[in-house]
Amino acid sequence: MKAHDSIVGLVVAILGGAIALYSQSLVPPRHLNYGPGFFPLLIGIGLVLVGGGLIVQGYVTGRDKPLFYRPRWLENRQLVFRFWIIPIAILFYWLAVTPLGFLATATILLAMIQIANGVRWKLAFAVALITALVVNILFASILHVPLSWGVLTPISGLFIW
Amino acid sequence: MVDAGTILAQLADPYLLLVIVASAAYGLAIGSIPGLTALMATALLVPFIIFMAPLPAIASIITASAMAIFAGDIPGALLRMPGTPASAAYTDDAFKLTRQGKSATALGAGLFASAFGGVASATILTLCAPWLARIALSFSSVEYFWLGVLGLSCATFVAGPSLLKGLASLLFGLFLATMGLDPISGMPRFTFGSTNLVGGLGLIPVLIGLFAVSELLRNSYGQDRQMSEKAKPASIVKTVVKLMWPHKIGLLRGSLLGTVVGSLPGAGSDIAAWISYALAKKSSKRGNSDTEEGAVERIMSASAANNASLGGAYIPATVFGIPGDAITAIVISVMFIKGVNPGPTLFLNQPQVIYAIFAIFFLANLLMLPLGIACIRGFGLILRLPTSIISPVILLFCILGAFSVENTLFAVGLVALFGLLGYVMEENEVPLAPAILGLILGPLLEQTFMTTMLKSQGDLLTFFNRPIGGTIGAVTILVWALIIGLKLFASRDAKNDSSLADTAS
Amino acid sequence: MICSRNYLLALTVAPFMVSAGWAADFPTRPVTIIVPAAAGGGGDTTTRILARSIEQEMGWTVSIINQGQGGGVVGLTSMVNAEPDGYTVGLLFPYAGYKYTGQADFAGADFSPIANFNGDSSSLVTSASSPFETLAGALDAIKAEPSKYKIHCSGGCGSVWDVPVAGMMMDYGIEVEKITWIPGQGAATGLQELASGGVDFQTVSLPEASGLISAGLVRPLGVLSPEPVPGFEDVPLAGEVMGHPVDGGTWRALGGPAGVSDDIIKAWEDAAQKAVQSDSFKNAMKTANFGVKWMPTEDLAVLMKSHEEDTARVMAALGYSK
Repeated sequence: MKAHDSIVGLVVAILGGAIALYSQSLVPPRHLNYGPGFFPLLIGIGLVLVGGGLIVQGYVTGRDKPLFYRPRWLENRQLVFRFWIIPIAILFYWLAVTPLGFLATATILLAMIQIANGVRWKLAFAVALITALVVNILFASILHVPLSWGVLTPISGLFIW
Repeated sequence: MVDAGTILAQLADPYLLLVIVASAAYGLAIGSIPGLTALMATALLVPFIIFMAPLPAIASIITASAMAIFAGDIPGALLRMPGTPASAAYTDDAFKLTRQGKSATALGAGLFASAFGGVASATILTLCAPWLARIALSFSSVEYFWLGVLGLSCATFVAGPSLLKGLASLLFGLFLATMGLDPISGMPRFTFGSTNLVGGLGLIPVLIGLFAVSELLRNSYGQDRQMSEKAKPASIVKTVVKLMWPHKIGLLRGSLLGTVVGSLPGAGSDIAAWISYALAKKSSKRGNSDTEEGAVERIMSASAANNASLGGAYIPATVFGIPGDAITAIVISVMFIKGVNPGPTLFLNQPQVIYAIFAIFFLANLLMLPLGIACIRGFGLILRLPTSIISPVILLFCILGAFSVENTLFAVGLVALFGLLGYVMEENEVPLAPAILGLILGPLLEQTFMTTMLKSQGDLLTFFNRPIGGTIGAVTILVWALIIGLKLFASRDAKNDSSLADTAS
Repeated sequence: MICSRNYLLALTVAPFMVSAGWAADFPTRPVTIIVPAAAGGGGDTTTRILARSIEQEMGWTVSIINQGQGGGVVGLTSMVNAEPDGYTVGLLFPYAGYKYTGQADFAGADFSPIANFNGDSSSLVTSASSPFETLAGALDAIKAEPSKYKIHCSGGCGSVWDVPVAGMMMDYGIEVEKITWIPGQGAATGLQELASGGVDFQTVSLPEASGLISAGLVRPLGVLSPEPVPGFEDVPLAGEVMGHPVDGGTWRALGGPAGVSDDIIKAWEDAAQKAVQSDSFKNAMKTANFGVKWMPTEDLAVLMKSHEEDTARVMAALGYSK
């Protein structure tokens, strides 16, 4: 999604204003000359100025440009799905990895995106399972990254080498 | 100095050599996977090496971290996903070369410059570590502050076509850096009552989100877009060997700068790479040009600098036991566990250990050439697999990388958030690199500014009172004045050009 | 060493013990220790040495999770929120200061203390070019003109290294709130400031400053320990100036979230005790310059209480109020 430069500037300026306002609520707990709000205030003011500059620049150079530009791929539902499956997959991992464990979560995540990308589901699941297994052995069993074991927790002692 | 024979005898130990080769392969593998960084490679080694003999343990960290910093260039150049924050500076340059079918040039330049920078810093380390460490110790918060401001000027070089959007990105990065605990009073800021936010936003999850996940998002709907060139890659050795000599100044400058910046505690390989990139662009005509030659000059300077800084960080670490960066912090604690207590007495009492450590630097950086080439080839082969299968695996590694650095699931959520944000920013021509620069430099700037103000009780003149600090300060202000002046001048030129073009059409 | 139990607590928890399972059954799977500090550094290193000895002595599998974000707040919070089944415990260290800076509000009741295994004393150091040669000389000068001096806290101010030193100064009659206390991001930033002339003094542990001490760039004035610190026998004890033994610094202990059943705590305490008494642990700690300080569950609980009281007193004097 592409927006007009002036809108980008507006968003930047609003963010800066919010930061500057919030910085005023940061009162130093002790007698400090420059408190915790000082840098955020500077940054906020900077963003407001830059945002203002962008609004003006956008107005001067791009009066004839549309406010929003909708790229063509947004009309293709399959492509939109392929796009959104990525953040959805990460969120799925976030929510599922503790109860299900890494192995199951990673397998589902990998298979889900491959199928969305048009891989046949049998192949997708096979590739997903093998990859997840290898990654799990590499990271949890050998490198001792504390990945969740989920449903395998009671017997996880067997898998940590 | 101890005699070279004893050191070589120590290095001839087959167990030590095995550890070095294994760590090299491990470092390359971790570094070349998008989302997995050099720091993570080192941190994951801790449980293995913490109970090894001292020399293999330290050799393992040195080798793995050097390899991982270089290998971070590979996904940067081929996929536009920098493997480490240090390679974020020149990712766009390298990727542009890859799009032109010149990945061998981009990666070869990075590889040879990395090895060169590593060897150069090892030489400096061996010859004058104690002397350089004393200089590094004369830096107080004033000098660090000016160094940070100088570093900020790099943003204007990676800002892309619109200076305003570059500044917006930089300020946004600086804002992200303020989230979490205020460095001086310890007050929570922008945390909205969340414990996760009290810890601030980790650099690695934000980097992975902004660069790697946003690139996956962009690739998700472009079916025709290949993830890498399919053409047979040119010979790396042949391509690059003839490039080394013309770029000797850039290589030397990068190596020297990297070693010096690395030797300053708290300024790591990422800051070294950015400053070297900016200098390459500013100080030479070749480095400023938009041609292939210019890109190679910038890649070589910055690549040499980030590997050289790894060596530089060992200067204060071995001489005074002060860590130069997070990786040497781990090295120091491993040394302590081994009873090899870093400090000047180490140079007096156990010089054979310290010079053996330096010798491992040479070995590791030379080993980087053959193994690095093999790694580049191997990575190229993996990329020939269909994108529909590779891209989910990359995503999994992005999640894993963020999780294993931070050990919180919150970091995984950040990856998704910053992935979407990075996508929207790129779509609107807001460059990503300045935001990462802001996030890297923000804490340094704020801490040093606040500490200085505490010390002087609010007297701003103190920033110019110290001889070194005042000098760096004056130079920094000059650089900024120059940048703003040039940009104004250039934009007036550009306007004239465009108005000419308008009248012509 | 014989460990007595807190019988009152044991009686109140007794009815739940059957369901919680007996200590002999614990653990049936790998246990996790959360370290609220990044890899490398004192907290991580000592815990790893302890964990390895527990693995060797008890045959447990121990995995370590580093969560150093927010100066330890994130790690301590995950510890407090962990399932109180004893499978997740963590490294406990001076935690009371967070309350006064508004970062978090941990109290002794949030944790189940297990045992203390390590301690490092705080010390006051100055740069070699400083005119002060003795602790008494420095304290007298600070007492005369407290607002003239800058002291680096190593970490954030109001935490492990500066609070004991500030407490000692209060006992000496110094108006500590008039001193400029400079916070930093660990001992290294402070040593850098000290060596470059940015501050007058620093509060730090001796092992962390040892490199610069042996280089002759930093001079230790006194250490807050009742007996000489191994490896630093030449450093004068603060007690000599104060007239009574002074003990202050960090302590590192194992602790679980509140509500872990008593026999599981006991199992952990036994494991920690066996590990701490083992030769491999003692040797590893000695080579790495870390002091071994064993304290059973009960003593640790007392230590935590006095730590909270001391912190409250010093933080109030320093001008933090809550």
